Amino acid sequence: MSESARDRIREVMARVFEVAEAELPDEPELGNPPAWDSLGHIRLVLEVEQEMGVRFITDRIPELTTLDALVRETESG
Amino acid sequence: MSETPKREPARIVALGSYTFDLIARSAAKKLEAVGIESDWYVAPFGQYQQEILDPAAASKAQTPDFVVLALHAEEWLRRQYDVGSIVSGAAKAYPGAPILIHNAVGLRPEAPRFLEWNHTESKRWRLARINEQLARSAADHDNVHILDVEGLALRHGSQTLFDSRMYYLAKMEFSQAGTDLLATETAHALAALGQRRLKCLVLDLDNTLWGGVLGEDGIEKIKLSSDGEGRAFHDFQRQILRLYDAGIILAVCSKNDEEPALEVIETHPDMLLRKEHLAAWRINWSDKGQNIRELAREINIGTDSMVFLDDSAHERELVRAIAPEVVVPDLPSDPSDYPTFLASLPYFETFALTREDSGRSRMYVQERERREIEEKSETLEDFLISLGIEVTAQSATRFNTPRISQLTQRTNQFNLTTRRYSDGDIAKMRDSDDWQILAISAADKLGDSGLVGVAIAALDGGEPRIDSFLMSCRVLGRGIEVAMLSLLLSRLARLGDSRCAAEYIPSGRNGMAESFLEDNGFAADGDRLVIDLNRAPVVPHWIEVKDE
Repeated sequence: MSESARDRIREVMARVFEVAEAELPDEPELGNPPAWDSLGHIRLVLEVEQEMGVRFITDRIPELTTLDALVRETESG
Repeated sequence: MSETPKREPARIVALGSYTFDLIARSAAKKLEAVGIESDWYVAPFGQYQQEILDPAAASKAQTPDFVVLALHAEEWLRRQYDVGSIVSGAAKAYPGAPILIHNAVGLRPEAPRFLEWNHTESKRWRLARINEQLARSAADHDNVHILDVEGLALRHGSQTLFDSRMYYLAKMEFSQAGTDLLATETAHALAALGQRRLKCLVLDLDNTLWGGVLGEDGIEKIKLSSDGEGRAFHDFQRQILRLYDAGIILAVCSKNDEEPALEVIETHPDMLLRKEHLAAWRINWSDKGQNIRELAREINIGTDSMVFLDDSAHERELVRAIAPEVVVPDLPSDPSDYPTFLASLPYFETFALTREDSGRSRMYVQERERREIEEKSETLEDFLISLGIEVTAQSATRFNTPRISQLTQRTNQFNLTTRRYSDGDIAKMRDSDDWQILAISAADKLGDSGLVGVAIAALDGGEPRIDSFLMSCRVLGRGIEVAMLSLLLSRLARLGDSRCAAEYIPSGRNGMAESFLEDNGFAADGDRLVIDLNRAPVVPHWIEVKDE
C-alpha cells in the first residue's frame, strides 16, 4: 500500500513539475527538482490532494517538503 | 483558427493584489490550447499601484497586448472611493492595450451575516456599489472591459472557488478548482478581446431546435412551447436569437424533408427562429459534412468559423470526421441544459457590440434574399440595377475608426496587402497628412450593409501608394470594389497627383484579389503596379455615390 501511494505521488510530481518520472531524484524535496519552489509547492500539494482524495491541514502544508513527508501525511490523513 | 497569420506571442501584463501566478500559469496553458501563444509578466505581489503609476515600471518595458487587473474583494473595499481613479489610471498607463478588470466578488462571508443588504456599510452592499462604479468607469474608456468574476462565482459557488488555506498560505483566495475556472474565463476573455470570434452557428432541427422527430410526430406533436415540456427548446431558441442580435450568423442543417421543416419554421406559433433569421439552410437527406461545406460556400465564410450543434452523437462524429475545422461541441443529453450550455460556449463571446456587429447577421440574411432575386433576374446587370445600390464615401473619423481597424484585422479574402491595424494605428494615420483613409458604406433596397470597405493611401512623399485595399466579401461582385477604387483615385487626383502605385501581396487566402489591380487599369512599371490617374476606372453606372 505504501509503495502504491509513493508511486502515485511521484507520478503527480512528474506531471506538476513537467519532468519525466525517471528524472525525478530518488528522494525529491523542496528545491530538487528546481521547479519545486514555493509556488510549485502549492501546486504540488493541491494536485496531491486531488489525486489522493485527502485534504491537508493548513499548518502542515509548509512542512510537507519531501516526498516522504507527503506520503506519510497522505497515509495518516 | 486561421483568422490571423502566425504572430509573436501575445504579451500579457497581470496586475494583482493577490498571488496571480497560478492563474496566469494556467491561463497561458488554456490560451495555448486554442492556438494563442502568450508571454506573461506577473507584477510582484502587491505592486499593482506602482506598476500603474511608475512610468519606468517593468510592465511598461514593452507595450503589452493585454493587461489583466485582478484585485481581491478586501483590496477593493479598502479602496472603495478610488475605483474610478484606479480604472482611469490603468487606462492611461496602458493606452494601446485592452485592459481586462476582474470585478469584485466577496468570497468570504462576514459576521453578523444577516446585516448583509440591511446595513448600507455591509460587505455585500459595499461590493455591489464598487462593482457598479467599476462598470461605469470602464464604460468611459474604450480599452477597459470588465470580466464578470462575480457572475462566475454565482454559477459555481464560493464553496467551489474559495480555499481558506490558500488565503493564509499563498496570499490568494482561490481553490484549485477556482484557479482553473478563473484561468479558463480569463483565457476565453483574452481570446475574445483578440477578436478570435467565430461567425456562424449551424443548427440541427429535430431534438435540437424542437423536441421529437418532425417526420414521425408531425407539426402538431413536436415539443416546442412557451411553457411545459417544450419550454426548454423555446428558451434555447431565445438564447440563439440573442447571439443573432450580437451578429452571429445562423444556418440550419437537418435531415428532413425541406417543405414540412420550413413550414414549422414559418408557421409554428412557438417557433422563435424564423426564415428571416437564417442566412442559409440545407434541409435534405445528404450527409451533413458535405451540407456544412456547401453552407459555408453559400454564406461565403470559412468552415473554420462555424460551430455545429446537433443532438445526435453520430452526426457530430460524422461532421468532425469530414470537416474537422468545424467546431462541434457535445450538446448536453438533456434539452433542459441546452440554454445554459449555449451561454457557456466561448466561441461567440464579445465585450462590445459595434453597430455593424448587431446588424451583421441580418445582412447575411439579406444576402440570401438577394441571391433569390438574382436567380429570378434575366441578366446580372438587370439584377444590379434592380438592387438600387448606394455607396457612401467617408474619411476616417473618431466614430468609424473601430470599424475600420476591425475590417483590416478580419478581412482575409478581398484584401490586397493584408496589413492589420489597431484602433491606435488608424487614429495616428487619421491625424497625419501622410495618409488618406477612405471608408466605404453600402446600402441597397434590401438593407444597409454598413461600413464594408477600406482603402488607405500612403502620401509620405513621392507618388502616392495604395497601402491597404480591402472589402468585406459579402458585398463583392456588385461593382462596389471598383467604385471604391475610383473614389480613392479621384481623391488623389484632387490632391494634385497624376499617378498612383499599388501592390498585391499574396497571403495564401487572398487569391480572389490577385488580378483586381490589372483588371482595373494598373500596369507594371518596373516591379510596381501603377495607374495614370486620368485613366482611373469610373464608378459603375448602377451605383449611386454619396461623398460625405
